Amino acid sequence: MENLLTRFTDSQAFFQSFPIVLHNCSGSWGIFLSLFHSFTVLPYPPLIVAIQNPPSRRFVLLTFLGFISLAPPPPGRSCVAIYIAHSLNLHLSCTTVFHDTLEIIYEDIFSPEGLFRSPTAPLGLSRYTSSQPTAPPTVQYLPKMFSPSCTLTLSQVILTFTT
Amino acid sequence: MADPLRSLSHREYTLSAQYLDTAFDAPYHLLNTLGVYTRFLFDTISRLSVLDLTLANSSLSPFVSSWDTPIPSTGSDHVPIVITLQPPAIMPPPPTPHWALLDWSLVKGAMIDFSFPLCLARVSVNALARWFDISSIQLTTLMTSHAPSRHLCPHSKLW
Repeated sequence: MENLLTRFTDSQAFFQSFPIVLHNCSGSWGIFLSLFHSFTVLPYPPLIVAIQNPPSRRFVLLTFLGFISLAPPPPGRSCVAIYIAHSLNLHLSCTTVFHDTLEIIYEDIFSPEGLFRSPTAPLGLSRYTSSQPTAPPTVQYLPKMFSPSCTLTLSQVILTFTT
Repeated sequence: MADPLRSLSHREYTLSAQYLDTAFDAPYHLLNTLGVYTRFLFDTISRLSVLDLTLANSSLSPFVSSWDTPIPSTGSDHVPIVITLQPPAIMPPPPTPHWALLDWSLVKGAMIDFSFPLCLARVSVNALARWFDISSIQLTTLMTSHAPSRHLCPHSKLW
């Protein structure tokens, strides 16, 4: 982990690459730890880790050094969680939007200078999972409905469907 | 769709079409690498599948450098997916106001209503500089809000 934190101090590398990791942990602590320890194989450590079925203990998420964990609040076991690297949270404005279900989480990342110093709007990342495979998705699942700030400038959104 | 080797039944097409139509109408683009499976069940009878779909809208797509599964198995039946965003080689310059198309009649009306921020009679140099900055920003914002943006192409100059 020390290696990851050292790389985070390189601001040039920080802006040149923005890795995002998506995974299904199946509620397992072993899978969770295995995932986070395997980030050393990546050229750059991830800035965002979006997890489906995160492990938790009494509705409290597991934490990992260097990351902030976010999930829909209890009651109920969250189906989705987002882990944000401390360095990302220090440099950019990160706002988490929770939906009224435990299956959707939306992260709005805003930089006044624009991501990659480009004239861009906020990066929005939505992690969506459906426990009912036959239920059709509706427009309300689109991220623009979650964040009013993204409605006008829906320019950078990753939407993950996991059925 | 992300699995070109799979033959879908009519029912499966109908179910998936609802998801994909919603996404593509937005419009979103599928980032998955075709043929790369994301779910491996540990029994021998279940087939490999692509359950994890990643979509990006058209504005983000140029920034998507890679969609890959380089992380070894973590014990989950799903494969960790790594998406890397990077600035594109040719980045469009920031939008600039098209001053030639500025509607001066509207600006003139707005300028009449414009008032500079209050400035104290005795101020320090720093306070005066801050007042000047705020006034300049407000005036510039007023002007640019009435000017349409230029239609830029990737080959446009940065100024």
